[in-house]
Amino acid sequence: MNGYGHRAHQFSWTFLVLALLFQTAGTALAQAEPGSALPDSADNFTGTILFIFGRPQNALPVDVAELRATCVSRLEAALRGRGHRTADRDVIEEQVRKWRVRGSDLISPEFLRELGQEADVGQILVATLLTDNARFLLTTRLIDTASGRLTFVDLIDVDLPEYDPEFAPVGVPEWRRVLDAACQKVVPQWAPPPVPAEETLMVLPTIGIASDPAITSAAAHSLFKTLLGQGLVFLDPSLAEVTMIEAGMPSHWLAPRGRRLLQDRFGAKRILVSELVSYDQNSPMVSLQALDPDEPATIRWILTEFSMSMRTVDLRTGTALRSATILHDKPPATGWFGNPVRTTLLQELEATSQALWAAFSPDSEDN
Amino acid sequence: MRKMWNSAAMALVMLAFVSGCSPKATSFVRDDVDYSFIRTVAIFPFQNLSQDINANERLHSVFVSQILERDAVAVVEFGTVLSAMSQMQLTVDSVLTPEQIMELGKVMSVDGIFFGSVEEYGIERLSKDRTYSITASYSLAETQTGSMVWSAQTRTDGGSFWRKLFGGGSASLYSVSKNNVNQALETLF
Repeated sequence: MNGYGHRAHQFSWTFLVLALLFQTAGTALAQAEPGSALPDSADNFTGTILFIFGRPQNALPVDVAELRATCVSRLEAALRGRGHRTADRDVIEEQVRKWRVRGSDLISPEFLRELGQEADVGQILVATLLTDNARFLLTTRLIDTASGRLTFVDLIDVDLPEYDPEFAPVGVPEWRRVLDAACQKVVPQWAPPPVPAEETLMVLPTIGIASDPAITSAAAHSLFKTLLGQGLVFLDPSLAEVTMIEAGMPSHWLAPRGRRLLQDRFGAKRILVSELVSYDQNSPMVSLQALDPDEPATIRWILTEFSMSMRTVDLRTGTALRSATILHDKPPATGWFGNPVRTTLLQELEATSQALWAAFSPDSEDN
Repeated sequence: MRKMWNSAAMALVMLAFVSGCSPKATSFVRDDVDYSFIRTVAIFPFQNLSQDINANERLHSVFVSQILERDAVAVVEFGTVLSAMSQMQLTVDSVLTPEQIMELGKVMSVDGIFFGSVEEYGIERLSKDRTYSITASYSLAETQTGSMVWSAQTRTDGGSFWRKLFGGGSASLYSVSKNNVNQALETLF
């Protein structure tokens, strides 16, 4: 055997060993993929509630019932893949009907308490799916049922591919693949219940001025995600909303009676109020109606100029303690050869939320 | 040669003069009021006389931000004002009597109430240049007697001498709003 043949022999052995290693690692990775069985690490259940806005449209050839069932099952599968024990869907539905939970901002403390005590649900994933022409906006919030704390927030927007029934591919429809991938991205890894915080901070849902409600909701989720990322501990915004509404007051009417109610009920001393103001002259405050009356109304997912502001309000006095406002009016960036660099509205909202926190944070120099 | 230098100097003086001609607020400030007693204020919803249906809310938001940024007075949350208005059955367009202002002050526990009215808001189409223009008036009433102690009217636009000279579009609507509010507040704080 010449030297070359010996080296080739060595290479083939090395290749075989490497191939075996890759195969073993590949099997391990495949087992760890979301959706497959993992040993449960949670000692109680995680429930899922989904609210759907918009309606199935051309790019989404599916009825609402099927869309709901598919999305819930995908979210549950994604949760199981991340170590959660998912609760029985019928049990959750029963509680939703009992407490008349009609929207993602209407999660009451009593509903959470009963979910925890009667159904052993430790956390509830509140998801909203907005379908708009050829687009999804999927948002999720994970709420700890014992404390009402918001422990995780995420959101994703996805463009749907063009759909033509004559040329639709055989097999799994494209929208299912897209939805499945989106669901995998917006659920958290299971984590033990959070330790009680020293002080309860409340947060109100973001107020939108001259902006579409869907965009305001996206801005709110983006802001809450930033706040959680900065280590802030706060109750889910829907708790304040529901408590005020049940007492006959809009949630933003922080009059003495409303403030006292929030203090007595949650032991909170401060509340965070945020605003999104659109200065976009081209996009009116409501969804644009397409020129063709048969076409459904669509949301214009662009804001060229907007501001986000945030202030902390003292619940004892009703006065603002700290505030910050950030304006976003950057023109689209240009890349190589003058090509515009495309950023999505969600990316812009996320960047503005982070800039707002930087201006608002007690560590910032301006404050 | 001397003539040329004189002309150049004159042109520079004119340039400085023209560029310094920024619009100013027309204001009234009562001299017999000690403003240090006004520690907590509320900001009433602004009236909207313009054609943009969101003008008052946008300008109100900027006004709140600028007042808070100055850190001169404590500001009660807007919801408190809405709640008090509902309690007293007042609307944005209500013309308040001094008694009502005093009553509002008691309900909200504030020393002063700011009012505002947006008269013009949006793109000005009089000239070839499309610039944003805002005209608004603001006032402050103290709640002990219900009397007006400060009032200002300002007009700002997004154009400037330098923008016209070197090109460029109008300043953003937010910037024009912020300038408008700041010019008014400068006459008070």
